[in-house]
Amino acid sequence: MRPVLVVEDVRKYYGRVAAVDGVSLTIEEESVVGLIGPNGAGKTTLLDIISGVVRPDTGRIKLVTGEGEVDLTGRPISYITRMGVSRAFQIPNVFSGLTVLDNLRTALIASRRLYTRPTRSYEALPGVDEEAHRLASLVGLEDRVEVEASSLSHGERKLLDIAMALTTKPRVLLLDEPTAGLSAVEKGRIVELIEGLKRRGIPMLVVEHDLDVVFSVSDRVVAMHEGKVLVEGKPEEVRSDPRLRVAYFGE
Amino acid sequence: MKPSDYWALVLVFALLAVAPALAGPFYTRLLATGILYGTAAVGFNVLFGYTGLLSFGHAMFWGAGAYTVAIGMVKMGLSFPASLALSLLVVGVIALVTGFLSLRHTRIYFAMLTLAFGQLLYAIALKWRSMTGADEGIYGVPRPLGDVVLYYYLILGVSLVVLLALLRILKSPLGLAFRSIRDNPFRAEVVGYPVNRLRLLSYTISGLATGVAGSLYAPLQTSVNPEALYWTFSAAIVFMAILGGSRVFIGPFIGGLLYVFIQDTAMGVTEYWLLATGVTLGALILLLPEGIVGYIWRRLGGRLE
Repeated sequence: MRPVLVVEDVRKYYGRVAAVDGVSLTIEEESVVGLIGPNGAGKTTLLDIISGVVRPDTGRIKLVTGEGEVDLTGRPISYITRMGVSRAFQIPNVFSGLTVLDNLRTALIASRRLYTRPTRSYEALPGVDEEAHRLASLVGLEDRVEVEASSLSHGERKLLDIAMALTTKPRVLLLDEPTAGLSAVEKGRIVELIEGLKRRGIPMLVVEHDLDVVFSVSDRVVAMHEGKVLVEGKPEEVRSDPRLRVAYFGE
Repeated sequence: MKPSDYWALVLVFALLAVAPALAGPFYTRLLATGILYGTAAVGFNVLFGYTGLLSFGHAMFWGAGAYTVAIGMVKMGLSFPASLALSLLVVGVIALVTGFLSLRHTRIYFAMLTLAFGQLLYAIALKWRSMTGADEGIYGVPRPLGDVVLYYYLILGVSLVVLLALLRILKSPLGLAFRSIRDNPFRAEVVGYPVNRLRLLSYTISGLATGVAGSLYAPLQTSVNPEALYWTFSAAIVFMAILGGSRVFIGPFIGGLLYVFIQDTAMGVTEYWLLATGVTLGALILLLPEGIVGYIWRRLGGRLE
């Protein structure tokens, strides 16, 4: 399969500590890559680098599109999002003072660059409301569209966060611990959603602590330890690799 | 029926349109001042209530507008419309330059930078005697249409146009972008908004609206002095917005009207009017943190922005 996102030899140091130390990985079209590792392995820093939150010291991030390669290294977050690399966060990052519907509207307005039209009402933009309602239904929030995001449960906010990341029709979706802090029922909804997105062919990089979740949804798993790639391969290969046990539990 | 921003605006302006028939020239002039204060406060609130940036320097736009019209009409012999157009240009340039420099920071650092720029303009007005008349200011600014009541209606018309334009912007995708930036600037950037550019746009729109109000103030008073640029007036604009309610469009406008009347009443009652005004306003804000209009709006079932 064709690669859509290529991470080449990326390094990020904080003082003398290497948070990410020469990591390379590729996400191919229609595939889900699971990124695992113990706390402090560098998973979230890698996601921050790919999404433009953190600038790498060295290395390159390339997006492969139908028109060629786009260098995303060190580009602003808004540019990377517009190019089609979307992200949902470990702690849901939504607009708390806006309703669910307005959260989705504003994300759609930003991704379609409709904010330069100050003469139209944002509630009457062709195509925006239909798409916002479709995304709300996709994540199961269709009955909560008029609710302010601050009143949503943690799980609902996670779903809204993912729906907002989908407003760009992403070429690659980055999910940072999508099931963290959720009940079993909520976790089930998120896993169902990820599987649904996978069936739609959206390539994903999923950082996750729940190994059962990550091994069930991923086509390939990359395990990191102390900023480096420790082992990568098919889920069953990585699961049985003794180095993973050592990284998580020690000798 | 839930309250609507447009209907609230229509109702308030309809009442203001009949007010001169009931009030004498003194109160008509006071109301005109209140309308201009209110318009300035709504302009300020585009930045504060809708974009989440607290400026402590909005007197610079008010004062720059007032001084430019006064200089245009008195020193340059320009007509009122030409002076107004010139003041928009001057205020726009000031907003772009000070906004570009101030918006490198947010929160208290941004507020302090706007305060510093405001005081810089105040110092210029105080020292540039040949142009600004220094601490005496500029007198003899002609009042268009002559009569206070006629000029009142000009102020009312221009303010209505400014407020309708601002409401149109705030109800548009751009307004939703401003509110998104206010709520969560990081997420706004992640979904694809150019946050810094949009903040500068909000700052400039906000400054221009306050500047228009200031431009109409000099002919109303037939004079302008450095008080118009002093930081205490910036603080007064913040007060007006909070008094009326920064999460309702019409809130700061009502705040501006109330501020003028509270101040005038306190001045008539006691020589310690500043203290009385401060205590009254402080108590109102403590009791109604969402502002007077915000409280009523919520009681009527309206949603705070």
